[in-house]
Amino acid sequence: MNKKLIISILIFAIVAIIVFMVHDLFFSNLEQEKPYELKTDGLNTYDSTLVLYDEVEPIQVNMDEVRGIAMDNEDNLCVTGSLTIVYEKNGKEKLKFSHDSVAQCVAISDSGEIFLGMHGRIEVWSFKGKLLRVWDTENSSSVFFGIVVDENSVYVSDAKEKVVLHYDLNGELINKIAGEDSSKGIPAIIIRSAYFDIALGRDNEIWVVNPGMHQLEAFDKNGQLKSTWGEYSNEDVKYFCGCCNPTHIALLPDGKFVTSEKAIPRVKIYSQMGEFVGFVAGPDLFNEGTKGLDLAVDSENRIFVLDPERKQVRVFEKKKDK
Amino acid sequence: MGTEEHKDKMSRRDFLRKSMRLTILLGVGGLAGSLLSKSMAGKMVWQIDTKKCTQCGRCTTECIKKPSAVKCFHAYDMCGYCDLCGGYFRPGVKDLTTAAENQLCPTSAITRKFIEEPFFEYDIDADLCIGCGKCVKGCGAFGNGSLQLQIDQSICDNCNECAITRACPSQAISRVESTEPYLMLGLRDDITWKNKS
Repeated sequence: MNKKLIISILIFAIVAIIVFMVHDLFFSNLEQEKPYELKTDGLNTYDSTLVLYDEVEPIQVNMDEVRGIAMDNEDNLCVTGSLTIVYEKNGKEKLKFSHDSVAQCVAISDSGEIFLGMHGRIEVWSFKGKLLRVWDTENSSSVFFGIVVDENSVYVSDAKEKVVLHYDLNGELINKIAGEDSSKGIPAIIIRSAYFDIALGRDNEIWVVNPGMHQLEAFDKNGQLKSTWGEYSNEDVKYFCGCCNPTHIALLPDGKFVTSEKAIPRVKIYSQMGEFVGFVAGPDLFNEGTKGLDLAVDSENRIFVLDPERKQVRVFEKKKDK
Repeated sequence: MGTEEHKDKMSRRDFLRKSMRLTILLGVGGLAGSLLSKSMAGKMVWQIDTKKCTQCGRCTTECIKKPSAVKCFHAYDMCGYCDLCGGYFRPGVKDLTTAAENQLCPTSAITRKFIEEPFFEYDIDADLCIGCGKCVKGCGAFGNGSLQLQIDQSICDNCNECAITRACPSQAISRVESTEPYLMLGLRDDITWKNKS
């Protein structure tokens, strides 16, 4: 009897060991195979109730490299890069012209002149695709990233010099805006990758992104610092993530800010005071690694997002219930 | 007539002699050709294609070298010298200090050095690096991707059948010419690679 009991216990123990070994070999948590892997999936999650916009039909751009977009006062959308194409409001191609080198940024004046920021120079084109003027800037190695135009001035952000150049419409340099000036309490522009966008505010103030500081800074035409806002967090969607964000900005007609980021590719809305309002597009709408999401806004508050990965201009309309 | 036919026919001895000569000739020729092609082709070594690498961490556990021959290399010219380095700090840390609990690297192989506000330089201690790729993933996710995993050719035994190549889930490892043994992004002659062997 005792012998039978011992044998039964031994058999049970052997079976248990075999089951344990088989489980450990074939059915244990597969994640154990990657004990050193850093999990970043959770960073792309967000509350979908914060999305305020719906995506509508995008504009497919037929061009090798797409870099920048701008909207004119008649809601014509201009896309630039290896060439420049202007689309009508209905998405139909209106104008197309090529240039010698790739343009990084574009702006359209009220008179219909198209300003292209190139490597070390600015080209001015007519709305018929004719080259009108070329401004060779004082630093031939300047990397122009953002350009805006008002009735008297052209502002160009130079990522190389970390300063905004203020020109008149004939290309005469008036002054330099932003860039470190401790006597005026102006912080240095920190650029860790070549993203340095600007936008014009409702009161003709110039909003400058300081990406390494994760903040936006407002200057008047004389270069006086008026306001700043923005904070860093990789965890909280209310703030800007990564080493250097936002990469691009635009302003809605009511003065709210539209921002886009890299690392976690997303487009968000902030109030006039810099408070987080909601999402235009979350990271799930973009391919992994997408960056360079330039922004434009039309008169109907539609938001246009350049997607260089898909070579599209993505179009977003505000949800009716938001 | 019968004698001529006999002359045309090869004798068994001649046949064997000629066959032997031909065999030796082919053998020597083949050996010489093989040696020549090997010397012309150059040595092949294993290397990681950084575009395919997903930093799964298997380079640490699968390599026969302990610690792994895979190391983190730093492309300083691509680096943003960030104060909030995604390759150095664990995601979500509150204090940006060098305390061990704030660091992403499991072996503290990355040192952080203040340059000027707000710029910091990050150096890899290759002796401590185990090639897990955590920092590489963090840098790529939040920064410029200047940290990259590569097989350190001064450590690699260049096995015929590389263990991490078999385990790599993204087939990122292949043989490359030993004259161009690194496949890093942005690899240029004018870039400073402080820990390039």
